[in-house]
Amino acid sequence: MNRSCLLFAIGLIGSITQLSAQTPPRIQIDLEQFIERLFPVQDEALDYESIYEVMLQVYLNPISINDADAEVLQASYLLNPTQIANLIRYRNEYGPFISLYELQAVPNFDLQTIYNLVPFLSLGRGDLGNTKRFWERVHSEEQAYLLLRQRRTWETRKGFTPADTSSTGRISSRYLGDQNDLYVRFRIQHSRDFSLGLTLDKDAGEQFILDKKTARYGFNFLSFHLTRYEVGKWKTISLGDFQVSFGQGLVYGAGYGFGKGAETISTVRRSSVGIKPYTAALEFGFFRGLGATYRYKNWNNTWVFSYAPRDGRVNESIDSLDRSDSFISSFSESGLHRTPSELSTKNRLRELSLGSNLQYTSSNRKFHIGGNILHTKFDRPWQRTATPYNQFEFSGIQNSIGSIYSSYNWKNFYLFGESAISQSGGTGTVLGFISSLSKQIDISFLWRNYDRDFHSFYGNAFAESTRPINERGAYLGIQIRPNLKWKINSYFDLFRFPWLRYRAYSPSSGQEWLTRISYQPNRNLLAFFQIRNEKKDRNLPDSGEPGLVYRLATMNKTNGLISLEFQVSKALFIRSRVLFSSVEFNEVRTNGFMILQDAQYSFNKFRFTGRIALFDTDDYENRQYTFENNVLWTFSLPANSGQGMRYYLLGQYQFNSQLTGYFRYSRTNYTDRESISSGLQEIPFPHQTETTFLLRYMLHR
Amino acid sequence: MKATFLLSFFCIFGWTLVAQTDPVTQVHGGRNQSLGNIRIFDNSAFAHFNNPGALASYKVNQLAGGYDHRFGLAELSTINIAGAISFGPGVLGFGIARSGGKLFNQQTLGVSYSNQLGIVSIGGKLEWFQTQIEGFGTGNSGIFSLGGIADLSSTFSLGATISNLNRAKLGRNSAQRIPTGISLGLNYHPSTQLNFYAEVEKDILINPGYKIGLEYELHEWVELRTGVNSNPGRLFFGLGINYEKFGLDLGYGQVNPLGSTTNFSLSYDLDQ
Repeated sequence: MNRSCLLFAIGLIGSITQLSAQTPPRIQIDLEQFIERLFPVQDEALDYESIYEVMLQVYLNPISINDADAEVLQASYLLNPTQIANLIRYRNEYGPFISLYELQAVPNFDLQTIYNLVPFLSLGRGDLGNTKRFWERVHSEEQAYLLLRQRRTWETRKGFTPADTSSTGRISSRYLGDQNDLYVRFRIQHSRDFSLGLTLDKDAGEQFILDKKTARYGFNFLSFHLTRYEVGKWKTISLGDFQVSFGQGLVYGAGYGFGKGAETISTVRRSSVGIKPYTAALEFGFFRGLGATYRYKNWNNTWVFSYAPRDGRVNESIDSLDRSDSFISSFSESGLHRTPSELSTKNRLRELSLGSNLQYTSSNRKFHIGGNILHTKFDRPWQRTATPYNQFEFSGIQNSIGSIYSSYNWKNFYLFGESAISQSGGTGTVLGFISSLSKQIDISFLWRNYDRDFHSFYGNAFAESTRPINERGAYLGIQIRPNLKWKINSYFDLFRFPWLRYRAYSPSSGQEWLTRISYQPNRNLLAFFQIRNEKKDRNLPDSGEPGLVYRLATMNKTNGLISLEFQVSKALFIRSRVLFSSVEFNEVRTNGFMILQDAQYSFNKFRFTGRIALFDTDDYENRQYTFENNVLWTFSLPANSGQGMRYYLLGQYQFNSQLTGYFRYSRTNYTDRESISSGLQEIPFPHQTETTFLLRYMLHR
Repeated sequence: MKATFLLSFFCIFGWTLVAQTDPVTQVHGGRNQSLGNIRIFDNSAFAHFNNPGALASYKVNQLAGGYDHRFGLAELSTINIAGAISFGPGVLGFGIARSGGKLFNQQTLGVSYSNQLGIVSIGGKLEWFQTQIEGFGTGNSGIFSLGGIADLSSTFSLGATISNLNRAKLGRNSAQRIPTGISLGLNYHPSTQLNFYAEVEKDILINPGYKIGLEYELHEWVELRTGVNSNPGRLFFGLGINYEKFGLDLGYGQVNPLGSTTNFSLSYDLDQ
């Protein structure tokens, strides 16, 4: 901090404290729009539902600005290392923030950052209201809602037609349930006090049935949690479904899958956010049981106990006359149980997880060090169908994994790392830093090395692959802000896969880069151009000649995007986008193109959002991912391939302060096919129509 | 005739396999190599090789020597020495470099001169280039190159170089021409501690390559560097230590699937 800055800051504080000690009114933000602004470019590699969930959690449990450490501030993904360091230094020098307006006095906090940040901040523990008893607080909590959602595709898929008999006399399989997709969510929560929630889900084709044998109680999926915060020395106690994240995600990283994206700096590093209640409807990747964090001075100790059912296929092997063993041949992560065959995988296995974390935070909040340990045991061994590429994958009945991690805020550098070893002896390591080199330039660097036999079930570390295994690479990201209007983001990632992978039957390598140039002359207009290129090796198609081994060739994929967003008036918002791609493989080049126009108009208690899009792609490799607006807290990111037109209209109406309704109609018309999809999902028409209906009822408002 | 044919065959082979390891096309100096082979903006005596026009722009007055080692093969290594002496508005540079092993090697010897004219500095270089293949003989050629930098504002500069403007051949008996390359680049330095470089390079025979480099002064005498090249994809890291008149630059580069390169150079600043 230079001297003039400091003087300016002191002056400002003086005037602010004299003015008043108030907080800006809590801003109701449109989270969807906010996340889209933050991650304007969608990518299949990012799990947007999780990102959404994380941001929702942060928004509903605002960060307490007066006791948040660097780790927590980083988790908002809105601040760069210099800003975090400045904020902490400012707080250490001048004492706690009296008002959120005071943020303007922190060096390097520009107005845009503050606008983005304020919805996720609160002034401190002050408003706990602990005078009342717990259940009374739950009962009177304002943040209590009930969500009901119904979704349906109107064309009849093959799975819903009457079964026919094949020539052999076998009756073909059909979906057991109806076409409705139902979802219910109930939640009561208060920031840093408690959270109570229930999520119920039934996908299209699943039965609404009471069947104890398959653990279906009406809905097919049921998730529940009760979490309490700050109970004496206990920081968190969570019962039911929860997720855990510590270090760089090698051991505990579930659900916070950021990584490579158009935000090239802040998303590279993971944060130790600890235990978070699980509320999504994805039917895997969470713990079910009890998790708790105990705080003693600068130490936090977390325990995880989970006994969860998992979906999977169980096979019997008869290897001797009188003994038969059953084993898991594959896990199912789709969460779909529509046919008798899919249903037979439901809750077939039990998974017991025991884990712990110990973390130390230095008194100046700049240094963290911790250790993780997790032991997972299945009720029967897991044996994959053997192929050359999966021979170093996990097999057996139990796995243990342990790691140590650390992060350190040194000057304008934020250094972080984690190193883990799994029971197999395989290791995984992540090392990196993010830094603001100057006011204009930020960089990030990350190096990772995951052995081919590194096994982590709940790991979600930075990787090119979907899991941290069999990979070595270095990532370099940069963000340049020459002035307030222009921003350039870019990354380069060089990686190698030391062992075979699915569809690449030889050790292979690749690289990926992205550049985005954004122009934002004011708050109402945002234009950007982005291009991404990826080169990765893949098997050449089987030539048909016997005896030839698989050969690799490089697939060269380029995706481009031009976008313009404009808030015309308070009521009207428009967005235009052009997406294009080209894929070169085996000397064949194919292309894809998509163009879309969005408009949003609000008046009185209504809001309408609509889109018309045309797409034309040569093949599935050129599919175009675009984010679509949907009913509240529902994400959709469909992949458009082929040739056709897609449009949707979303309406929102606020009946009263308690009840809000949403309705969405979407349709895709294909011009290049007579039927859509295949198998039981097949629709015998060239169009697909979907409606979604959602009601949100706030209990006490 | 047979010798000529074989020589050109060898060279084409050499070009595709080890593009940019010959002393004319490659970027010299530990600093610029670890910045992702940034060619145009070079503040060391190696600017004689990289961009003679930079010598006057940075008022270089230095002696330097370096060694670089690629993919663990001694046959692909380069050793070089360069010097620059400034007087008045101009800077006179010279350099000698040799790359290759016993069977195949190339060397260059040259002088350059650079001058500052207002916001622009321009320089030219003349060099004698020799290619030697054991058992086939020796080819000699003369090469002329140009380069320049324009400082558009206190934080922003543009520059360009053209190497082998005269499109010299490898030797009198060879039809094979030495690569001619053009580079265009910019330098953005928002603070005195930080330099950002971007460059595009086109060699007649090779697809254009993009380069990005970043140099950060961590301490008065410690510099951290990193760089990226697009074609082929390469990643570079480097460390520079400047203690009074002495300088040491270390660099490391990674290219898949070939492996890694390492280099270092030493420099000594002369009195003005």
